[in-house]
Amino acid sequence: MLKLLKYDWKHSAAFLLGVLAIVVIMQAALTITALARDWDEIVVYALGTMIYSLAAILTVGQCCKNYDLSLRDYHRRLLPTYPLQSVGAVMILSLLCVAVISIIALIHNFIYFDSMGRELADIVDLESLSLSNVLSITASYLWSVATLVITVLAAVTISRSIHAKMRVWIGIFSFFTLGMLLSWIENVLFGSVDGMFGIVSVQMTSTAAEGTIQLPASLQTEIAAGPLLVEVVFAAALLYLIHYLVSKKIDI
Amino acid sequence: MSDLLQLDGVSKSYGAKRALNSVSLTIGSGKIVGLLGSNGSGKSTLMKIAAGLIPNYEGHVWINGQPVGRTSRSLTSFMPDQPLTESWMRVKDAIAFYKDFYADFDTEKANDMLKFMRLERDARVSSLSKGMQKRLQLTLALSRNARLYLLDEPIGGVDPVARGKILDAIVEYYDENSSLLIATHLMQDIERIFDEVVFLKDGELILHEEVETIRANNGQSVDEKFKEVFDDA
Repeated sequence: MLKLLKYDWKHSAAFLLGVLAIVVIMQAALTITALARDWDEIVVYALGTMIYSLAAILTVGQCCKNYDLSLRDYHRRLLPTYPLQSVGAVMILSLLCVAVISIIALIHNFIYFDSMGRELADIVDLESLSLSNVLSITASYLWSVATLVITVLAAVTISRSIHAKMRVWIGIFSFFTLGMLLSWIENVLFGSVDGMFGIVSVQMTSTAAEGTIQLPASLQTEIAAGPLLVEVVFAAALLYLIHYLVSKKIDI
Repeated sequence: MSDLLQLDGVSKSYGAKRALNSVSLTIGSGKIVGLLGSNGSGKSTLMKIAAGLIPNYEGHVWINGQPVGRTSRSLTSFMPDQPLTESWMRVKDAIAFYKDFYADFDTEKANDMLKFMRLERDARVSSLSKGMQKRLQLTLALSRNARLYLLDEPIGGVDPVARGKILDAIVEYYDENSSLLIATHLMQDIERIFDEVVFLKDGELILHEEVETIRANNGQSVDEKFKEVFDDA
């Protein structure tokens, strides 16, 4: 799998590094423009977040394109590897891309808050920011990305297993159907829970009146075992589907 | 002599079009076999099924006793009529790719073949001519110590000089313990290297014979036999 990852990286390195370079340039341009024109900090923060999100989507999209390549290119399909090794390579590269962009975004936000004369302690009660809380939120974030990537790869595999001109649309339809199916199952089983962030329940509490939050707020997290179990089963089912379709149905 | 490739009642359809119709075929080790037929006769489909690129077919296929799948792919070296490389690669990257994934890849043999084929290790794959691309494809395929080599149109679309070089390389670097199945419809230059020929017509196997038998019984070359069979259509 690591060898596949190596070649996925070599294939996409120019694009992925290009996206990262453009993100850094755009964020610098945004900050300079905002300071020069005295823009509202909420607007700057929203635009900055949008740029990072777009970069994450583009990089994950490129990784998924690598997977599509591994289904249709002779030299990849001829390799004596298991179909799920390709999925694993794409997953690792996607998570690495998202992690790098997230780390850049975090550092940028710290610098930005610092330049505005703010500190993290103004937002969150630092005593409540324990290692387990941080790890829970990080794991939930990465798991959400992983689930999304598996869903995209399953949709790509479904579309490649169908010999029809409409297969791109069938892939897009499959992606949304699978996403909605997971949401529906979780909603039926567990209802809607306030403050859910992926598989973690995040509660911010403060001494302010009910319905409002006064910063700094105290942070509590709790792993939601039910949704986690459902998502693990869902991901395993999609991985089985991918393995079956690639092994039995997808011709070149 | 053990059977390297066995096909039993193999059929494949693309929609309403029947590409292969109940093909049964056995190829022993140490043979160079020509898979001959006109365009659309099912040669490439048969090759791709044997290489493990088409899992969705009827019938059974075994390579060295193994059903076609991940294990058989490590015993089979396929040179398709499509690129085996990526656009970012140089020749040396393509060699490294094969070395990374195939335990039977012989780097020394690959380096010898690169010299024989006059391919530069630092040349960009995307800048190679069609003839040079074919030479690289053949280098990659034959540098593996596989049991079964499948070459799909190795001399199709290349000039006579490259064609000669490719045929010389096949003869020079072919391992006599393995078998070679070569799909082509260009007989004149290549028939000298065949031990056996298989004729495919409209997805059906119509002849599987030793070349010597065709020459002895009919006094014909393979090219003449091919024209006789396919002109009849």
